[in-house]
Amino acid sequence: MKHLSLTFTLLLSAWVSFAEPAEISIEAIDKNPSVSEESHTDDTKTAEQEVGEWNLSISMGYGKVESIINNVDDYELYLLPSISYYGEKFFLENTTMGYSLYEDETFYLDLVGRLNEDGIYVKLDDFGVFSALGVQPPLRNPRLPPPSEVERDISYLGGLAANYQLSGFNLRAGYYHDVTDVHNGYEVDFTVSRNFTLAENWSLNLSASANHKSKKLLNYYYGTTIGESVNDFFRYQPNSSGTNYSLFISSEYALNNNWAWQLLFKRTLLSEQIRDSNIIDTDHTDTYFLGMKYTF
Amino acid sequence: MKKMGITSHLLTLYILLGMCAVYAHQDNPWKIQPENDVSKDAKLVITPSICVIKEVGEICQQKLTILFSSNQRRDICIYSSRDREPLWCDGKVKEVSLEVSVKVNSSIKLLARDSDTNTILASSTFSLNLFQPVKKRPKRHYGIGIL
Repeated sequence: MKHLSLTFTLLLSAWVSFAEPAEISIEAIDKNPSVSEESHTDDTKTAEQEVGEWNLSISMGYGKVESIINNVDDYELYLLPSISYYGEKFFLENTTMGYSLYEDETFYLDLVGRLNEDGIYVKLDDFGVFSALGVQPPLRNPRLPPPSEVERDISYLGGLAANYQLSGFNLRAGYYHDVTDVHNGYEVDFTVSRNFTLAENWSLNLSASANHKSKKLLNYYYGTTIGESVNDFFRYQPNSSGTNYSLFISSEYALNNNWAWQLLFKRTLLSEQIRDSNIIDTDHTDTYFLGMKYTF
Repeated sequence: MKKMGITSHLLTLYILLGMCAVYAHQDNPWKIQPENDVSKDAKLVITPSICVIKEVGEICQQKLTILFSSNQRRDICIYSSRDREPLWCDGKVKEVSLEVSVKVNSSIKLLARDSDTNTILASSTFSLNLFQPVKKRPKRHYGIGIL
């Protein structure tokens, strides 16, 4: 009996210390409800950018843009800035801007304005170290006399680009016409690219492209003037359009949210119409950069 | 009527300001208590603590579990911060688990008060979060022209 009362006492104290669940209900419907806003991001899609957000980065390291023009020095890169912005329809990515006419998950059609790269090669000397110092760059081929200054203007192209994503590959085709009245030529390009995730913080992008340049464009940038030729007989005028082929490799290894190692390499095989020009002394050009990237 | 001098005006202003300061320091029982007023030896845990809704005004109806625990026995009442009447009270409680059915369209804060002193022992919020997927666009990967 004594044991029974002790057990009863223990059970009672246990009941007091941990009460049985009770049923309560709360009903509160407000006219002006206060709720928290919860944003959901999908970090796995690194090939996307948030709408309305600026993306600024600067890379510090070493790289080179090989000049294709005779006896013009290569351009050495120590800083490589990058900027991008995506609005509801508009976008800006470095020297390219666009307006999307249509966009869904796999297909998008953009009006695009972009810088023509041929003009940059001609103007490369203007950005180079030797030009900054005001001295003549060392001659790449000292046996040839230095050509008179090759003067060409940079042009900006405007056109239409269609992108389609198929089985992990991104296919892009575009037509771009000179909108700056520099040469009135055009370019048609086709690019195949693919993103690879090598590790959680290591990405690789491979891209191959063909860039067809019109005769007018080639004539302007690679045709030679009387002053650039030994005599009028040796003046070069491309007699057709031509196609450059490029391979581009880009890789980033993220150390944290802001810092990443960055490697960029691009090889461009020049078209026969460019190679034949007497202001050109190479059949291909390489551009590369290796450095640390800081994203703001 | 005798006019008040500038000294009298200053004295009156000083007294009024002083009274305001004293009144402002008095405890308002329904004022939201700062974090450090909450007793550290008691806890109030709501599970789940979040309900995700698609649009403002949407009603969230679900069952919650409220767990109150303290390191000593107390007479407690559980309140919703918007009501003066307690939802539940009991005496000599050290740990209690309550099942609560909620039907709300707004976040609610629950308080565990000591019924003897009316001090807040612990508090927790059941929050309604609006789902807002971040809009993203595929990057075009255009470089700087030559790179």
